[in-house]
This record gives sequence, structure tokens and C-alpha cells, in this order.
Amino acid sequence: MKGAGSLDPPEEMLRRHVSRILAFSSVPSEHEADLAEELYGHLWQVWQENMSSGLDAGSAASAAIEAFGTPDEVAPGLTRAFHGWLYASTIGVLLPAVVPPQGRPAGFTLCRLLLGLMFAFGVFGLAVTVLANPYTPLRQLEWSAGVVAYLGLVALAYRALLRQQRWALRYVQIVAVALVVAGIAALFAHPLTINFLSIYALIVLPGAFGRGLAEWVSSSRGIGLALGAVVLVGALGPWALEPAVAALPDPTVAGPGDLSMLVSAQCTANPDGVSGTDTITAYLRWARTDLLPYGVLGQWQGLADPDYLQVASPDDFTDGTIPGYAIDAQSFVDVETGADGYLSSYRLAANPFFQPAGNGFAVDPATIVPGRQYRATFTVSVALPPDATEFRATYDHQHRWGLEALLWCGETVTAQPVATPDPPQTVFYQ
Amino acid sequence: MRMAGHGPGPGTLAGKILELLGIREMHGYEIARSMRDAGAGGGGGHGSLGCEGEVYPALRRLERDCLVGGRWVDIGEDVPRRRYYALTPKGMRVVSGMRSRPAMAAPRGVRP
Repeated sequence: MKGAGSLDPPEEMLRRHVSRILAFSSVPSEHEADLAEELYGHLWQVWQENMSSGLDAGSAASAAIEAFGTPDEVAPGLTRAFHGWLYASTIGVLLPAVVPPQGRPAGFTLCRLLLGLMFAFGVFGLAVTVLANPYTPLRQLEWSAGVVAYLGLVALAYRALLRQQRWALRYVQIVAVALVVAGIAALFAHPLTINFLSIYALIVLPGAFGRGLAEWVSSSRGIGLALGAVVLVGALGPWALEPAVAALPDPTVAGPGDLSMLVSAQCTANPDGVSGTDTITAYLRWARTDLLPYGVLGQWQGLADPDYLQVASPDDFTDGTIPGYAIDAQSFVDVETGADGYLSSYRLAANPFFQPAGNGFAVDPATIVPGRQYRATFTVSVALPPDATEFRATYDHQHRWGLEALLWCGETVTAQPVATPDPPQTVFYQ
Repeated sequence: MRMAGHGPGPGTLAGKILELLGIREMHGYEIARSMRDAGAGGGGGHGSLGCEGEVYPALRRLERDCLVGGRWVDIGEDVPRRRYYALTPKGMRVVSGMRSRPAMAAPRGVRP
């Protein structure tokens, strides 16, 4: 903002003061022009009187402005004159209603389009996640609330940038930088991904930090500590949302602490002395299954994903040079009753070329009763000496959490929790 | 805050504006100067005018609550138009009510 003592014509000083007051307030657009004319008329009249009393034009204008009050003194009252207290103290701060008619600077449209794309992608992501239902209901609720808050802030920033608000420009700047950094990081990640929004953010950056937009927002209010925190959290929050939600405890569903899994591997050499027949046995006991969303009944009704057990050789996954073993037999039974809980089997692939890498099967969740012991058995033929293979036995609980054991022939190992189990790499069903 | 029932109190900024408009039709500048001339300005007390610009939010609230009505008046060439305010019938009833009851002391810093 230029000071009152600048070289501008006095009338321009008066008009700029009115603009600043309106830029600090949230006035419905239909009242803007009237109010601006009325405030200017007041300043003009005081200015004239001050000159009549002997002041020069510049000093008279400065005195009129001083008597009228600063934006901080007048604007909050104007906002409250048109809006309720809640709006005036929240959105009214973020979204004053002044929309300049013309003269949008370079980079303005690109920045707004970035916000528009973020909003569209956010809505798409929300819809996909709700439909795909990868979270437990509680976490879905937490995640969705976070995304809705994020979408609300993006929408506010979209409108506030049009209204020359400094906080909206800062938001765009932080987001654009973060997107570019994330895009660069994704290039070095495995697997490599290309983020098109990051590429677009790279295009936006020069305009976002350009002089045109800086001047565009220069008459709006400064960013205090609280608003700065909102902008920063709103800009970077989406990246933290997913890990934060995953890290939050969810007492509504069973977790890895509710399942014990003991795995052993017995290996027998074939007469050829090279290959072998191995049996991997896992004993599982659930303290409970899901309480929500579906419970055991819901699972029986087919509303939830089944649970998966799989056995794979890590060697097969890492370099793909060792041919996977052939499955001879697999079973899943209730030790006490002998009830069969075997649902369907699948083979794991090490790569998109269907190179075999292991075997798995789905457990019928309807057969699982908390407190009972179940025995899962894999009998496999390996084209290696029996003691040359390390097995990996994994239990995947509805893609939410898992237990995993790594063991060699002759070993018995207690499976340990894994935060994000490998998905059952179901390439084709047998 | 919406004004309930009886409208603004006599000691408030809005009440003083209504009292002034009960005398005659005025525009915002006149109201502000009248209040300053009457000694209501400065001091920051209840119903006082901290700065002239504070008149306009109060006027807009009164207009929103249908206590006053505004109209534009052309003054002349090269002179900005002025928006004159006058009491509505509802505003007149509120002013009559204020005149019939004494001004009540109110906490400092509270405005309608």
C-alpha cells in the first residue's frame, strides 16, 4: 500500500482508501458499488471542507482519511452489517467481496486453474475412495472430513484470489512449490510415477511468484499467525492426511494384535536330490474379527473382502530369476471341527509377465470363529534343494493390515505385524 | 447481530442515529458530524463514534432491519451523489419508544 503522503492526486487517495476498506470487508456484490460511492462521497465532502479551512489538497485528503477511520476500524462492522457473526469471523475474513472489474495480472488465470484442477482431482479422489472403500468406516470418515475441509479451502482460495486476497496467493504459491517437489520426488520413487499436476504447477510457478500477482493482492490484509497457520496446514495437509489417518488407532475393527499366527516349514528332498517337496503350515487364532463395518455376518453376506493367506519365496519377488514353485495342495481347516474354510486360490506373479512367484488362497471369513484355532497348509514342489528356499508366509486382513513370517526349512516362526501388507497379487485364479 | 423486538437502545450508536433521523432526513456525513458536534464522538464509550466511518455499518444494519430507508440524491455536477436516510414507519415507532423510556446505562464497548 502506498502511504497517504504519496504523490497520487488526492481524489485517488480517497478512492484507494475506500477500496482498502472494502477489500478488508465482506460485502455482498450487489451492495458494493453503492457503498463505495457513499463512502467516497463522505471522504470527498470532508476533503472539500478541510481545503476550505485552509489545508492544501494533499493534507486535506489525509485528514479526511484519518477522520474516517482505518480499514481495521471500519471493515469489520461492514462485514457484520451484512452477515452473521459466524460468517463474519470465518469466511468473511477469508473472502472479502470486492471483485475488481478488470486488469487481472499475468499468471492469474494459471493460478486459478491450478486451484480448479486441485478441486476437481480432490472431488474425483473422494468419490473413488468412497466407492472403493479401502478404509475402515471410522478412517473413511476421518479421511473424508479431511478431504472436504481441503476442498472447502481450495474453493475459498479460488474465489479469494479473484478478490485480491494475499492469503489466497500465498496458498497457491505453497501448493505449487509442494506439488513441484512432490513431482520431482515421484520421479525418483519406485515405481516411477509422473504427476501431471506437478508438471502444471511448474508452469504456474513463475506467474505465482511474479510481480503482477504480488501487486494484485497488495491492498488486502496481511497474513497473521493464525491465518498463516491455516494457509500452511491447508496447503500441505493433503500430503499428511493419508498417513495420519492410517496412524490413528481404530478401535472399531480388529487389528494385528487380535490374531496370532505361528508358521513352520518342513522340507523333504526328492529322490533326484535336487528338487523337493515342502509343507508350510500356519496355525492361526483370531481373538476377534471385524466389529465394523460388516462383522462376521456381513462378511458371510459377501459384503467385505475375504482374508488372504499366501506363501511366497522372497527370491522370486526380488529378481525373478528363480522359477516359482508349483502348488500341490493347500487347505484351511478348523482344527477342532475340521470345517473347511478354504475359499479360492490364486497364484502370485513376480512381474507383469505372469512369472510365478508364489501361491495364495482366500479364506472364507464366514467360517472364522474368534477363539478357535485354524490350520492352513501349503504343500509345494520346489525345483531347488529343500534347504535353499526361504519362504514368506503372509496373512492379509482385508487389505488393511497383515502378519508376515520369513522362515527357512525346519524353522517355526511367529508371524509379525506388517503395517501395509503387500496386496494379494492376484494375477489369475486357478 | 439482529435487533430483536424493541430495536436499538437509546444510548447506542444505532439509537443515536435513529434519534437524529427522527429530526430530519440526513446523509451519513451529516449524521457523523452531528454526532461529533453533539459531543458523542471520541472517548470510545457506549454509543460513541470512534471514527466517522463507523456510521456506515450502523446505517446499513438499520436499513437491513427496515428501521431506516435510503435514497440517492444528485447534488450537482462534479459532486458525488449523497445517500440520504429517513426513518421508516417501523423506525418511527422505535424512536417513539426510545423517547418514552429513559436511556439505560449499558456496558462499555457494546454496540448493537
